[in-house]
Amino acid sequence: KLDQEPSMRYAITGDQSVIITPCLLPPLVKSVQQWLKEKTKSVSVT
Amino acid sequence: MNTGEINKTAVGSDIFAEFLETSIHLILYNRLLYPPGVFERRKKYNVPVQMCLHPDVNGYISKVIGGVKDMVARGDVSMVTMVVLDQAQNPLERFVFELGKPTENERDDQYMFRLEDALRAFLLKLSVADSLLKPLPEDCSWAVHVHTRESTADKFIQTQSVQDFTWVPADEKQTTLRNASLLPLKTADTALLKMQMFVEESSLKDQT
Repeated sequence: KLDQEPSMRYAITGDQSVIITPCLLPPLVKSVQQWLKEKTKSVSVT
Repeated sequence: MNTGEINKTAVGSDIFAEFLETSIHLILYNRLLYPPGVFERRKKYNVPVQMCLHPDVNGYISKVIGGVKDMVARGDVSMVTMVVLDQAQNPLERFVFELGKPTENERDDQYMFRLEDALRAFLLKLSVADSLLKPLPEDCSWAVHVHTRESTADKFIQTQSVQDFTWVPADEKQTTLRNASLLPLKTADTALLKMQMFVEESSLKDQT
């Protein structure tokens, strides 16, 4: 019943504060450094 | 909320999202979280800013901002933070964007001049904050945290789970800064946006 009526859950337990974050992590520094290296190389060749 | 308040919240969330996106790029550049070569100088609110050129970084920031905007528009977000983490995922710095309920006197800033001035000042303060913080160790990562209510988070997570960018409750380790010192940056209270910005710096940084 509580799953179907979330508002009832908050009425009982209180609407607590929560901190959420994206499940996916941002691109790693190493991958960005690699991308920059390849980009700089291709620019200097042309 | 009545229609006027809904419109005001929607416009406020749009403005905040745009400002937050610029701020994230600026923090990434200032704190050397990515190499300076991947950034390009642009102008925002008549202030020079640095924007990242890396497609994956930009795509990631856009998805984060999309989510934040959605939650802020629901009107139940108290804080958005950008946390800088060390390799062990301990928070070293936290850039806090604290949101409040804007004041009622809309006529005072009909053309949003005060708001634009405030956003400009926020960006300038963010740029100078860099010189007041200790340098970061190498290979730091970062994360965005949204402080909201369970009801808002649940509704939002349900809508997001159908997309490829899911949000989850943050680990307590990432949200607790040990012996943090606080650096206040700026406060603004305009008709559309009430915001306070400060940086918290962990004492853990001295040990790394």
